[in-house]
Amino acid sequence: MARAAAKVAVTVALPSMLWPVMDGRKELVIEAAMLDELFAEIKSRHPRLHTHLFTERGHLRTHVLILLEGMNVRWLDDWSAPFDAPKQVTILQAVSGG
Amino acid sequence: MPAVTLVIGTKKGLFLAESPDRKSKWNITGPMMKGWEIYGVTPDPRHGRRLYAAVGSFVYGSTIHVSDDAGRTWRQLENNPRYPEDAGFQVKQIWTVVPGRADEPDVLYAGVDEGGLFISRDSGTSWQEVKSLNHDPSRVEWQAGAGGLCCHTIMPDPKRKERLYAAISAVGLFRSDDGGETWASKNEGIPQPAPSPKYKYIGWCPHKLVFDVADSNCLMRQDHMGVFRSRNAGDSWERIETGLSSGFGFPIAADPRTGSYFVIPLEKDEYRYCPDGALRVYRTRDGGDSWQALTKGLPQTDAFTGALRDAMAVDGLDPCGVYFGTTSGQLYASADGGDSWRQIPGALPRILSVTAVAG
Repeated sequence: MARAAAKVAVTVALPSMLWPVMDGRKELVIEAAMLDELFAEIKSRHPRLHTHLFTERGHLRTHVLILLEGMNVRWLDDWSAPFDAPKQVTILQAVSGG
Repeated sequence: MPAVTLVIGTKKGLFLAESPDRKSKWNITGPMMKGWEIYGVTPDPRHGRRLYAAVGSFVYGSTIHVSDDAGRTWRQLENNPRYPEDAGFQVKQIWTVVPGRADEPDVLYAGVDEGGLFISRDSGTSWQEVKSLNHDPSRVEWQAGAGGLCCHTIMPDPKRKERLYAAISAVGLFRSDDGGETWASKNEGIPQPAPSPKYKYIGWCPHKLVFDVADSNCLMRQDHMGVFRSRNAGDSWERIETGLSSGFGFPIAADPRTGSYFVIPLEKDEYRYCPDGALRVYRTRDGGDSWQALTKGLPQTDAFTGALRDAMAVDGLDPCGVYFGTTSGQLYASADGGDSWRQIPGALPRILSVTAVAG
């Protein structure tokens, strides 16, 4: 039986427009083993934040840019790939959002 | 405590303007919710100084925020109106949140784009879609107006428990007499700007409505096609534009003490700014039979601006204070029922909504 991937600390930096949603916090630290799990944790623990990142259909909002260690997550093939070390995630307003 | 607090929703945040006497000095604070579009702010007098705000972003979507101190602090609701997955459409923007009647203190209504009505029976903790309206068979032919396919005005009848009105841009005004179980189109007498080939009861564009202050069977309606009045709960409408510079416009407001109504005409739908470059508010004191231009203190030259449907408010005091904000970010106040006006200093972002909270 394969062992479950180990959770790591993921530091999530928020854009300034979303600081008030999180009571002024500019970043969160969430334990997660992979991107899918990170987003599930955000949905579970921070639903007020999650609704601003994902549509009601569960799709990443068109003009939200999420970077995993500088890489646009939209270009990643697999959001269930295990993290190998603590990660930095940055959420930004995409240029397409004006 | 200020005599009046204006809660100003703009395209880039929420501002407060406060004055001790509604005349001499206004103090502006903000922006709060910096960068967010504040579509509509509605008082909930059932709960003290509570306000609800419909807040949105092109990037981050739309949610409802609530304040219990007349707009000084806000918190986002955890759950917001959202269509189920099988609905076929999504909530692009929440336009308005409206409290239910005084005897149903936990009821809230929300109007959204893509055109729909939601109800909460637990003060916004959870929301349910009003499917009877949102999934009307005619929906296949609903077409968005310039501002979107928005349910922008919701009016529970204060005198009739089961009666509710909902206005959807470019679709029409609907009335329910059974608490939202069924709906009827209430637009007869108004020209149809967007007729539907199959469903003859849709294709109107109400902009804003208010109840008559004394009789909720009587409604005043600023429509895309003009200004109208109904004396039979919307069953039929008559045009009431004598004296107006134009029938096109967006906001309409009512002074609850005197029964005066106010509109801000714009030069036709193609242009949407003041006729002749003159910013005028019009008032009727005879229920719409005639209108008078109010210009003292308002610019009468080179004023090519306008006001959006939720950008005018009254404070209900005696004499009535009337306030409006423009698409150019100017804010105007009258402390004498519209007889005279002054601009509140400041250059704000495009003003989407103005709400007056007395005291």
